[in-house]
Parts: sequence; structure tokens; C-alpha cells
Amino acid sequence: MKNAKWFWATLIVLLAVALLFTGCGPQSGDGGESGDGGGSTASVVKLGFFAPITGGDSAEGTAARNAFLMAIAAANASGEYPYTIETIVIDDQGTDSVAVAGANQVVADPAVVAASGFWNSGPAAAASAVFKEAEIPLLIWGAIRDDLTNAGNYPYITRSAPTASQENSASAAVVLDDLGYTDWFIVSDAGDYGQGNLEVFTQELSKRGLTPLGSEVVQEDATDFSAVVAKIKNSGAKAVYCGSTVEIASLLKLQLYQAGVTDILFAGISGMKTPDFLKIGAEAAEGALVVSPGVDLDSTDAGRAFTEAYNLAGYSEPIGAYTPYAYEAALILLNALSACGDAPTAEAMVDAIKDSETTGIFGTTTFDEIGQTTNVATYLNVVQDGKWINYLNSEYADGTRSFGGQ
Amino acid sequence: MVPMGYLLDLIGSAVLLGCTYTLVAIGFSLFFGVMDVVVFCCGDIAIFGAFSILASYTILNGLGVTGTWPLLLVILLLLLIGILFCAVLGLLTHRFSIKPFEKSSALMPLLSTIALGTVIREVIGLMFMPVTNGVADMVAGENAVHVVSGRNPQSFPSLLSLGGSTAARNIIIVLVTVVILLLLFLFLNKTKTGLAMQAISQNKELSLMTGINVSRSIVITFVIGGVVLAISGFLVGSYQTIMSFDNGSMFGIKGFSAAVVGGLRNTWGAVLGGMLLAFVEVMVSGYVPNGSAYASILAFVVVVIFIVFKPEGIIGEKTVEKV
Amino acid sequence: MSTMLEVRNLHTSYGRIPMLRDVNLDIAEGEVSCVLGANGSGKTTLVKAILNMVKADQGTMKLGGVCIDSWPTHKRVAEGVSLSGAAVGTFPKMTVETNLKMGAFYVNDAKILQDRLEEIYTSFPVLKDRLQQKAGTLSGGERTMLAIARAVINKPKLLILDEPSLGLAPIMVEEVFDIIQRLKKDKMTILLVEQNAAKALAVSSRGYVIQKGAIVFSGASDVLQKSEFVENPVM
Repeated sequence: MKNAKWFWATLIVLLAVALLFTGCGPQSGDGGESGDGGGSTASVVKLGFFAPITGGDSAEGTAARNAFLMAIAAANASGEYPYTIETIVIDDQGTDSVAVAGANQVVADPAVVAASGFWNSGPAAAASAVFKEAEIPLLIWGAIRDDLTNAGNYPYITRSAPTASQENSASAAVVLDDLGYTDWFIVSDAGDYGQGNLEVFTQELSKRGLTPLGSEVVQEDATDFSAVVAKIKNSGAKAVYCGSTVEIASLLKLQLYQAGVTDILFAGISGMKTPDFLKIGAEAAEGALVVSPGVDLDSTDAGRAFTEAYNLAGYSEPIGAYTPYAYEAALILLNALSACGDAPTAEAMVDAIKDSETTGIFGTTTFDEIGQTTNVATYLNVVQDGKWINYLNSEYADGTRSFGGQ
Repeated sequence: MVPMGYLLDLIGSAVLLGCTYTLVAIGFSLFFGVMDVVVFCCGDIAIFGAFSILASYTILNGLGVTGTWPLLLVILLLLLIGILFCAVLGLLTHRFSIKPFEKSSALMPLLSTIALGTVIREVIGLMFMPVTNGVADMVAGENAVHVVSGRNPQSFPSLLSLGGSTAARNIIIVLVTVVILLLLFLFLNKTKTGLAMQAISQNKELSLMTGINVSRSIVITFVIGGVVLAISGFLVGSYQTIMSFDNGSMFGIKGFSAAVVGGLRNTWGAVLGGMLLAFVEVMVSGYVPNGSAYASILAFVVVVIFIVFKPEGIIGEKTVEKV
Repeated sequence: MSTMLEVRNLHTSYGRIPMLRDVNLDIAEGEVSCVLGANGSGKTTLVKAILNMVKADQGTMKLGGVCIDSWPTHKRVAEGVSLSGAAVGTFPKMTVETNLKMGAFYVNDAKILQDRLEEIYTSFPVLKDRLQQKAGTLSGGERTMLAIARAVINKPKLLILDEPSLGLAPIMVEEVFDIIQRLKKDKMTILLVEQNAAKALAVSSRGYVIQKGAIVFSGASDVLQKSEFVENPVM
């Protein structure tokens, strides 16, 4: 029938276009432009990589993928490995079910010896079960919910990024202890990231005998926060804690500014420390204070070298808060591969990763007894005149400027 | 006590949010009215319009036009470009997502436009930067202004914030919405093309027998729908200031809900539906502790209530005649 | 007297099921012809095929001597084939006046349109009192009047009335046939498609009987009146 023909033709065209443009489904990136690692198939070792490449979190996910592939490409080009390292990139779309399907696909490939992945905690937790079952090691680079690394999952699941608690306690030490804010209003999103931050920041408050004046959970795709702004204004809060991503945080900060709510501290979490936050304009963004994992890239040689290499590679997505962690994850896996000799296996990689000691951008990473990194570094950033700068070097730290609400 | 100013703040927010929902909802009701199918990618078409305006602005900026030409001229030029893009996208939507399924069940165009919405979103995410920067380089050479990444949030030019005032911008948004609604009303009721579109929406078979060129009217509907959606994209962008390539899915769902509350075929219903949805959301967020988490859900509960108890919509009239 | 509509050898099908088989019609100008047939005999398919709303598998049609096979529906209407009927209905959310104007969709001159409307108000006085009322709120009889008026305002070369009296009260049926009588007096060419054989044959000069998609009788109405087709209860 004519209709049926049309239907299938259109469906196939749509699917093809979707695949072409979005890169759904697996992409095989050997990452090595030189790619002269011998011709035989036995000399290929595969790694899995998971990130949200399409959908709302794709800015962060794509940048992380770029950094990961950059490290693998460099390793292939170096000639240090007697085999070619290929990366199976899975777009988890920030969705649990897609992540599980991708994980099943990765573990089914006999050449896969390890994987790294996840910006979202939900997909990370869901896929962890698959990897643990298959006894293939998974190194998490960007999902921060505390319980992802635990004794039950050890040694298969490890994480090189700090947890939500580790991040928030560093920021709490500054805004609660040093700056002494007591009247808080908490805004977080309904996703894993927001919920994790809401929980640990509330704990930090209650440790100090404080309760927030109000709290509001917003939908992850929300763009209009006028009612939340009105509530904050009405609550008399002197400080706002925003435990969410840059999309929500920048709009909230902007809408607070537009509503004239400027005499207030705006404190946040690593996810919002990207150049995108500054797009709301210097005046609206001024004074936002966030904690970031790792160390200031501009403050160390290793950090500057990474930034330079990344920019030189010509990627269109700017470096996000967790992009260096994806790069470090690749370094850790490469380090473990080196320890496994000429024919690495998943079994050997499990031990090699947990015992690894890797020096990357942020110093040396080793793992504790549940697979969590011991290299917990955090630093604070503040927006000053339309730029993110290290809090310690800012006019806020030396008292020239002051946050609102004091 | 909650002060009076608080309520006024909320009402102002709800009206603005309602305006953005309304224009997307009108897209839905135009398409549904004339073709009896839900074109689910309306929100994405609007955001596509916003991004094409953003891209054109970046290119004009590189040419140094934005500072020297009168602001009004720049705005009109940008709107024209956005309208052009959305009209073409509307036509493509019809050609590839609707027309092939003309004789199949209404579910087919629904599914295919959902898929098309995803394609539009990802095309924005992937193509926005290379195309914009490529064209900017071509026309402006060394002076080219570049955008960074298509997937990161982009800042929309604040063309309506005269002197940085959001109050002026907000008034313009409401005024433009009202003007668009009036123009649409006049078009639908005072021109033959508009009457033909209404006729198709009320009785397709009779429209054919009256001598209306139905397929041509459908094409025109998509062009008009594209125009309305482009303007709504412009207003949404101006209101939000920061846009993401995937904002379209949220606006699509809200616009669709507003259209359902309004009765799907009824333009005025879409206005009331959009406003009702926005008021429910803003008031729940504003007055219920931690209400923002439930605001959208409650708004959808309103939609479900309408589907169950008043499927003909908020001002939909039951007509005696059934064909 | 010349032929207004000539249908030759018309075949249509619905999917693979044949609907009309070898239908031939000759509708004379200025006359009322009728097509009689039971439910499901193919009457409505025939009407739609004349308007090209159902595609013909084969056969040709001429309107006033001009071959119209390649004309799409809207062109056939614009060139003077109007259709009305109880099942076709009205535009329910438009006013009576707008419905009438939609009927004259191809009249662009405001003056001519106004004249046509005035003519309609004279021949359908009941509509004049309801001009601003929505068509969906009219009574069944009024709606039928509107449906006929909407088709007549186009001053068609051929007016097709598809079961105009369907579902009407007897008094309204009388009125509908009065109108047909009046239109006949004005020398309008009418193709009346009916189940009500007695009434239809009374106003028409030529009749066709359609059964299972084929014309089984054609001839003068008074001959048909006395034939087995009308007396046969199968009808």
C-alpha cells in the first residue's frame, strides 16, 4: 500500500537524520588519528565511555567526551601501548534505561576491559549494577551522589570526582563558618543532582543548628522562576543556596536580579561554574559564589596545559566543571592499562584501577576502601566584573567588595 | 502576613508566562483545527525561530549593523528572518511529518511530529554554532562575532529591554501578544483564506464541496502557524534572556496542555488555557510551601480534569450538528 | 436542449472493492433529473465522483461540453457544480450569513455578493431572521434550508441535492420539495438524489435507478413511475 510505503520511508529518513545529527547509539571513536597500532584484531583493547551527548545535559556530557577521547588519542599516538585503544562512546541521554541498555552493550563486547562514565547519578547507579554483575570495572567521572561508591560495589565501581558531601562541606565551611550567613533559602532541582545537594546542604545547616527559612524544589526543565523569586523576596532570606545546574542557576540569579533582589548572597555548587553562567550579563551574575571540585585550572601548570590542549584540539563545547575529571578518568584507566602488560583483561583491570596511583591535573588520585577518590580538592569561585575568578584572589576575599545580605 | 505586593508580583509573572504559553498554544489549535492532528513539535519550531533570530543577531552584530541601524529596524529585520525560517520549517513539517500520514490514524502524525521535535532540538544543538559562525566569518570576516557551542545555554539579545528596564520589556511582551491575537482574529474572520481555514476546521468535507482548495489552505495554515510560532519564540527568548536548544520540549508540552484546556480548536480557548495554566503554576509555586516541585504537575492535573470532564474545552460549545 | 453533465463509463472503487460500475448519466440543462436508490446502492459515491472527491478509476465527464476529468474538486465547484444535502451539513460555528458567504466563495465582488444574498433572503425568508445565529443552533429544517441556500447562492450550472429531505418532519419535506419546484421554474439544472421515489419523480423529468453501483434503469420519470422499480419493495 502507498501509505505504508510512505510511512516507512519517512520513519527511516527521520531515524537516519536523528542518528546522523545526534549521534544516538554507539559511536566508535578510536581516538587515534595516527592509528598505526598494527593491523590485527587481537591488538585492540576497548573502553566504554558514557555521557549525556544529547538532551539537556549534553553541554557538560559532550565536553567530557571530548576530553576523554583527547587523552585516549594522545595515548595511542604516544606508541606506549602495544595495542590500539578504542572507545565505545555511549550517549546515555541522562536517562536510566538508556544507560542500562548501553551498559549491556558495552559489557557484551569481549574486547572491553573497563569503562568510565556518567554525569547523572541515576544512570550511574543503574549501570553500576550491570558492570558489577559482568565484573568489568567502571570509573565514575562526574556523578556526585554519595552512595554511588559503596562497600557493596567495591572494587568494581570507583569514582575520581568528589561526592556531593565532600563538595558541599567545603562550601559550607566558607559561607556558614567564615562568612556567617544564617538566614538561608534553598533552591534545588528535582533531579538526582539537585536532590543530592539539597540533602547534604541541609545537613550542613543542621550540623550548625540552622534551619532554612524556606526551600523550593524546581523542575529540571523549568525556565520561569518568578514565583520562587517572589518567595525568596518575601522570606527575608539573606542568602540563597542553589543546588542545581547552570541552566537553572543562571536563570534564577538573573530573575532575582531583574526583580531587584540583589542584597543577598547567591551561593551554589560546581555544576554552575561554567562560562554559560556569565551569559546573563556581568551585573546580573556579579557576586555568585560557587564551590568547584579540583583545583583552579588557571592556577597550576597542569591545569593550564590541559586548557591549552583542549582549546587547541578545536572542540566547540567549552570546558565544563567536570571536563577535567573526564580527562583524569582517562588517565587513570590508561595508567591501569600500563600496569596490566601486553594483554589487559577486565579482571586484571579491576585490581589495577583500585590500586592505581595517578598524577593528573588535580594532583595524585588514589582510591579508598570503597573506591572513592582520596584526592578531594575543592576551591571557591566568585563572579567579579563578569568573570569567574578564584575567591581567594577576589575583591570579596580582601573586603573591597561585599556580598549582599551582610 | 503575605503582603499585597507579593500577590501583584505573582499576577504579573503569571500574565507574562501565560503570554508565552498562549502563542505556542495557538500554534497547536491552528494546526489541530485545520487538520485534526496534533503537531507536537510546535514548541520546538518556536525555539528554532528564537535560535534563528539569535544567529541572525550574531551575524548582524559582526557586521556592526546592530549599533548603527535604528533598533526598531533591527528588530523587524530579525523578526522577519525568524518568521521566514519558521514558515519554511512549518512547510517541511507538513511535507515530511503530516502529509505522508494523511490517510492513516491520527496517531501517526502525532508520533512523527514528536520524533521531528527531537530532530529539531538536536539540529539546533549541533548546527547552530557551525552555521552561525560560518556565516558570520563569511560576511564579517575579521569582525565576526562568534557563538560558543550550540548545546550550552545561549543569551538572547535583550532588544526589548529599553534602557535595561524589564518593566518596559514586560509591557511590550504583553502588548505584542495582544496585537498578534487581534491580527490573527482579523485574519481568521475577515479574510477568505482565514474563513477557509475555519471552514476546514468545522467541516472538512463541506469545505471541499464549497470549493475551498483544502490542500492549499493546509499549506497556508502551516505558514501562518510558523509566523505565530516565530514571534512567540522571539518573545520567549526576550523574556527568558537565556535559551537552551531543548527548551522547545517544555514549551511544546505547556502549549499543548493550554490548547487542550482551551478546546484544541478554539483560538480564544488557547488564550484562556495558557493563562489558566500559567496562573495555576505561579500561584501554586507562590503560595504552597515548596510548591514549585508540584506546580507543573498540578497544571497537568488541570489538563486531565478538562480532558475527562470538559473535553470540548473551557469555552468550547457543544454543537447540535454532528457530521 | 443541450446536456449539462455527461458521465460516460464511470468506474470507482473503495480499496479493492468496486463501487460504481459503468455508470452513464446525461443531465439535460434546465431540467430536474433524479437518481433513486436504496441505502448503500452507490448514490453518495456517484455524487462524490462527480465532484472528484472520490477518484474515478475510469470514465470521463463533461460539464457543458467541456471535459472536466482533470479538474480537482475546488475547480469543479468554482466552475459551477454545487452540492447540498442533509448529510453534508453546514459550518456549525459560523453564522448563517457567513455560511451563505462561504457558499459564494468564488464571488469576489462585494456588490454582486450583496445582490446574491438579497436574492437568497427573498427565496429563503426563514434564513433572513436568523442571519447572526450560529448554524449549529438552527433546527433541522432550518439547517436544510441553509444547506440548500448555500449551494444555490453559487448560481451553479448544476445543483446536486443529495437526499435533501433526509430525517425531516413531513411538513419540512413538503417545504423542501416546494423549493425544488421553485428552482425548477427558474430553469436551474438539478440532479436530485433521493430514496423518496414518489416525491422525487413528481418534480423530475428524468430518472435513474441505481442498484449495487450500476444504473439499472434510465428514462423519463413518468415511465419510471409505473415501472417495477418503484413498486418493487427492494427499493
